[in-house]
Amino acid sequence: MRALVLTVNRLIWFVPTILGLLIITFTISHIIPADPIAFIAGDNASAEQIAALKEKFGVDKPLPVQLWNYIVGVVQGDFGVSLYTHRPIANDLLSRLPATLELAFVAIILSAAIGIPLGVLAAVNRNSMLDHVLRIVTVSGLAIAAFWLAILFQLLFAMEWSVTPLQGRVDGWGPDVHTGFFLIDSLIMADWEIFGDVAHHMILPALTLAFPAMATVMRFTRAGVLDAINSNYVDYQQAMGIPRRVVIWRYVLRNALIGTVTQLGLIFGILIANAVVVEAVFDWPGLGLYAVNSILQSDYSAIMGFTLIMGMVFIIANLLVDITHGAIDPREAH
Amino acid sequence: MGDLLTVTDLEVGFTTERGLARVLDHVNFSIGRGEIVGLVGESGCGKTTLARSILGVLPANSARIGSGAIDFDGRNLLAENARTLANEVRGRQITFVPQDPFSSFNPVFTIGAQIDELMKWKSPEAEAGDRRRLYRRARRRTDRSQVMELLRTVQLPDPDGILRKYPHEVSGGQRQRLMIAMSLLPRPKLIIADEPTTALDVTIQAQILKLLRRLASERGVSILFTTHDLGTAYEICDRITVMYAGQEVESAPSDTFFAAPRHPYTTRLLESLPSTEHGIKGIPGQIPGLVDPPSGCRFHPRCALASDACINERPGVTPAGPAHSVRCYHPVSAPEAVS
Amino acid sequence: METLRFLLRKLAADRTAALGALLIMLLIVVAIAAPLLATHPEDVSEFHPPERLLPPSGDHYFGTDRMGSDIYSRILFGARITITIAVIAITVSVLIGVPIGLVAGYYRNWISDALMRVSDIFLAVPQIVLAIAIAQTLGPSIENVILALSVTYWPFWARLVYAETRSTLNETFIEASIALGASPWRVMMLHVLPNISSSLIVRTTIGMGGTILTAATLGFLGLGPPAPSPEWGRTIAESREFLPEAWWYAAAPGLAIFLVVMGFNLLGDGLRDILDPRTRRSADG
Repeated sequence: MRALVLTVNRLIWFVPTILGLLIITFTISHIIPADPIAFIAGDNASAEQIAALKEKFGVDKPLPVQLWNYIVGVVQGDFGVSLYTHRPIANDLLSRLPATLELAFVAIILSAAIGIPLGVLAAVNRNSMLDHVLRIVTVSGLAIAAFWLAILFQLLFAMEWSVTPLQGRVDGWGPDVHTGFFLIDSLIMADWEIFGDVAHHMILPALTLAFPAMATVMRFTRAGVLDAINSNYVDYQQAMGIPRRVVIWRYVLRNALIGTVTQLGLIFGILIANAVVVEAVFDWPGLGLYAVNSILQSDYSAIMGFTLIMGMVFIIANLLVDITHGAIDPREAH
Repeated sequence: MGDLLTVTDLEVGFTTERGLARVLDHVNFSIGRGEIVGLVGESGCGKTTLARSILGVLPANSARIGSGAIDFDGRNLLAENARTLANEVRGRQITFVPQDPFSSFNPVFTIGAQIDELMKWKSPEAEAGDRRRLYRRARRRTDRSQVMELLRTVQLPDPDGILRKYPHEVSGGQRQRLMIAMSLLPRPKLIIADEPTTALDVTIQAQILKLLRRLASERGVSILFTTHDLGTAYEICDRITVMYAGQEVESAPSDTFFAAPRHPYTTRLLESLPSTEHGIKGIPGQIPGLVDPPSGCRFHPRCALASDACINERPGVTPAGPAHSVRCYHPVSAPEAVS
Repeated sequence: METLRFLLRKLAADRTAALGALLIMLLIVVAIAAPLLATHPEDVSEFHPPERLLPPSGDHYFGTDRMGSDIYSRILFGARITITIAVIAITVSVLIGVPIGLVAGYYRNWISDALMRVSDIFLAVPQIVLAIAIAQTLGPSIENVILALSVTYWPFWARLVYAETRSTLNETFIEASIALGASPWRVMMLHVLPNISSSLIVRTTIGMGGTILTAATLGFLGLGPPAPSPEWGRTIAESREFLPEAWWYAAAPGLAIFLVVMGFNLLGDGLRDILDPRTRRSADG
């Protein structure tokens, strides 16, 4: 019951947060020094043509009205029109969202699968050689620029050694699109060749994306385990002769992980932030690449759309993390 | 020897930044079968270290065991390897009741889950062979009924409901009863209770102590009971051993201890209990550091009766009556009555 | 001065923190002495197309780029840009965020709630995403990068200081102070601020690392100071089309970024261990 109340509480803040985000993007998009209308109209447009365009795009109305129209539009799924392609941005964004999400999920799984056990080992073998090596890896992971790491990986694995494809998501046509997640779609089709190809293309981008996240996971897991290992309940279990491996991998780990879950939001943020450049380097057809191309084309509207959808994804992800944390930590219920 | 536990000449040190802290200095100690022995002393006197040495859970990287032997029911615990101690001794023949029952439970698992884990490894029904993942259903059932039975014995209402709760959902007194129950489940020979009532409200302390004493005597279980509170020692102990700065100084049956103590420190300790006669009396001086402790009898810097012999060499064990021994060159003879 | 000497001694004892401090000092020296240390200082703005894409040699330690300019010299001058952006952005965001956090934490009224809601909204989006939006809108320049970073970073400090102010205010000595009639200004300046200062110092140091990475990312995306600026991120972006042959073109600036960020992270970790032992990164010792 308590958990439900907390969930509702958090959901209540969801709407104002999204609204606030809309206001921010609206504000940013209206401090453009350049006049996009003149840009669209071209150099030789007359004053009447410009005025007509202004009316068409609704920018002749007072700001509050524009803001209202903007909000209403977004709620209905209208993210504006691309200045470059003249097509609705929402479609482009939605079609690219699955690619980014798929990459992010795989990266999270990788970072957890590698980071958590390593974090436990580092904590259990505190100050050993292994611990020191892992500490160096952690610090490096947080100091390395994602785009540089991407380029290095690409240089090494794709160009020099040719073990992975250079870029892209898949060679040729991908699987029939059901979910937009190619790994799942190819499994639905039971097409192992495409599955393998997609996975092959995903290795480098996912690894690059996972690296800083893995470093963070390792760091927090290690701290959480160290914390738990020094606790009285571990002391008690040891005093009562419960085998150490059970104590660590069943009890300590659970405590440490619950603490780590709160960091998932942070980790997801890292992933999203780095997705932009990683997609750019690997030509991965997701939202990040869309953003980069829009920057090159000075497509202000598209960038705003990108900002909006990234913001929403992040807010929703954090909301889910909060709810999960409330659900799995029995102390939260009180 | 008829005694269940005999500690002989135990020497334990901890490595610290300032050097080796000599926490236990050739300590002798014993517990008879079915006997409740109190280990009293001020903070830092080594009582917890002694208890943990017996249990075998000293911090591995900083503890150094010098000489000595710990004989428990015929085996020398110091000679066993860690795994044997963990599997066969701890949690089976010697169990533990911690000081703080709240933090000794894992907060994110139910109480039932944690008791189940204990029974899985330490149930008296468990045979030596079936340790691993095998927790056979039949044994599970007998274990569960034993658990319920014991929970009722420690006077916990609604045992079924309690097992499903999380630690933070039950009261302090209930938690300590749970701890007592858990310490009895494996049917041990010895329970080591480390200041088990310190964290509890005063009103609950007496209940817990009486419960512990009754259960122990019913089952013939010995208890090693450490405390800094003489009052609680009086409540429950058959015999009391006093420690000072890593040395045991006197050991006597409870009545004798309070009525006719022989060691100067013991008398000062009893005097320091607030009384209507003399108000509050402290002991002048300070507890010595253990990295470079006083030689011989470590109490000599603060003892009015100290002589050269006390500084040169630590006094040996001198009998002072039935089950009463003292380590002093100048034992006090006039008994000081303390209320 | 006593505390400073104590701090320096503790720092020297912690080898990784000392390494971090060393790297940062190297950065500062390089930035200041760039004209002296550079072998081809004029290459910041001049080109020599015939000499393009030469591998590392005695004449060009890190080789030359696509315009024939000496990469080593350009990286040295790039350090200036990096330091400038990072220092100004952090200073501005701290100068805005900390007072807001202090005031919001002290006064519990609708204004503090509003301020924190606004901060939360900013923090609800990854910094780089908003920074891209702002920098893209305003156009690529060093000032706009600084602006974008500052605007997206102040809420972090506001939230942090708000939480720490709230918890410090709950301490009994503060209640005593207020009971004795201390003014809000006095309480904030003399009690709260010193209490949270060590946390701020640690976070600022670590924040420098993060800010440098974000700034480099903006540069990589073309949103930083425009060509022919020797900004590190931009240089890496330029290098892409000449890989894998001209590997030095990407390696050098990337390594520079790595070392600098690493320096700040190590130093920040070391400071945290010294100033706030309760939150030791490793709980050793």
